[in-house]
Amino acid sequence: MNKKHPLWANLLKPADKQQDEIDDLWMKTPLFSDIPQRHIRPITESLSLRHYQPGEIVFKTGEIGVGAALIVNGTISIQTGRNELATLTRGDLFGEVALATDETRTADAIAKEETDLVFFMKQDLDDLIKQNPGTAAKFAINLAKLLAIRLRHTNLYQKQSEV
Amino acid sequence: MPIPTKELESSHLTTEPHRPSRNPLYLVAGIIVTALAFYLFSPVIPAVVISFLLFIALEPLAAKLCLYGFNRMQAALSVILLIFLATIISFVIGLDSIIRQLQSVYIQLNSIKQQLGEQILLMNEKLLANGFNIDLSALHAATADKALTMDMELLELGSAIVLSIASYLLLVPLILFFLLKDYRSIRNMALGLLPNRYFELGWLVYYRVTNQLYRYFQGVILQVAILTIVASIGFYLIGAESFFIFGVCAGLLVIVPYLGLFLAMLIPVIVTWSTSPGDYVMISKIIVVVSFAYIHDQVIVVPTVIANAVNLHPLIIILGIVIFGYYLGILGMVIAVPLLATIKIILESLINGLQNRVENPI
Repeated sequence: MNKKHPLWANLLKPADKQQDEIDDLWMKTPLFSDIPQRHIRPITESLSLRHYQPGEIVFKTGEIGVGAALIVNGTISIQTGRNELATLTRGDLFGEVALATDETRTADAIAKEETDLVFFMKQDLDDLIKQNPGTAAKFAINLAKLLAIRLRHTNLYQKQSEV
Repeated sequence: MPIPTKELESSHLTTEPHRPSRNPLYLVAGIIVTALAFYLFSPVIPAVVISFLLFIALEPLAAKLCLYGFNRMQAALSVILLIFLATIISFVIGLDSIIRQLQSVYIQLNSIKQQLGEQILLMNEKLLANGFNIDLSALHAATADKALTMDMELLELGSAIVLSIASYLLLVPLILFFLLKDYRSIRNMALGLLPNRYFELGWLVYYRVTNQLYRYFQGVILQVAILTIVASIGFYLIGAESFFIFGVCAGLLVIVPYLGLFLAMLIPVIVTWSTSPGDYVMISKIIVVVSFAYIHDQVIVVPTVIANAVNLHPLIIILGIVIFGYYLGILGMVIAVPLLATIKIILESLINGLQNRVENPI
């Protein structure tokens, strides 16, 4: 396996040829639900694509989050302490709470294998609001729905755990 | 649309975190490269700074054009063209008046030099006559020496300004165009250079710093523009010959904390006092105009436009202005407040972010 040093992996990464593939993945996420495809490319074309090595930390509990991440390739383990809460794969979105609040991360995200992530930052959301308020409004509604459903699932899970 | 969720389950830890390299040489190398880059690019830094300030002022206009269907390139080109047109129209309308005012100031300079020397001598005599043992002859000698070299210095300064303006007229629109068109890409590429471990922390620092600086500079630009207009109208109404020059000086000097009001009064007062020594009525009117403009600025403009753009203790602000002013002069006083605010945000974010790493190791 071609192991790249974490520092250089992103400094010297090759030119992005995956944009269409990434746009398709974004379109399938709840955040871009009901948003026309022609509005997605201007948003996603300059998003940050990062490469992570196996075992590399994406973020840790207690860190202030600044964006959501979409898995383009690879696998991410969501953990609290020594417990694994979820294993996410290609097309999954995580960390979206950071787009809505300044709260700290509530879990650790660690790459289980060589992983490519695309980040959608708070700043990107601010830019979207300035440049395309209509699309930004739909995005915000989708984000609110997603957070509400996550909360509902968490509450149901806790209820089941108590039982 | 159903949200794809993963089953929340407890299981044994399956992924051991990778401990990144903590080689301090990377940090040292980064600092050296940054310092070298600053040194090499120092001739163009003023043009870059001006371009960024114009970008802050004009970016909302470009964003508005994008809302109406312009793509980024079209929006950037349109904004640049609008600025060119506005500049050309302003020059066509106002150039004649500005040239007359500049010529008037230059002609008055000789008179100012002469009058200044005479007034110092007169003041010296009055002080000595009233029993004050203060010898201003050294000041008179220094003023006389300065008067001799002032013409050459002014000519050199004027030439330097003209050359700078000429180079900036080429460089600034070019940099501004690419900032308006590609700022997002440039920013994301620059932040993409950060290692993964500091990627989000870097974005956090950038997000907080730029939000605060953006609000602050937009507020300052608006404040300068409003005060220039108010002061120019005031000087025009009182019949000051160089009303526009004085108005621009007053507007620009508002960015100098605490001293701005005094300096904004000093320049027109000196010019008037030197050309018309006994005209205390005009001097009083000038003081009233500048005072009104600054009171209007502090009471109406600042609370509305700048408000709490920076979150600093007043004592920190005062000390910062004094220290930066001592080492960097007027420029230091101007940049003290935004620089202190930036340093505060960076330190807070870094300390919180790095402290959390120590408290929550994996």
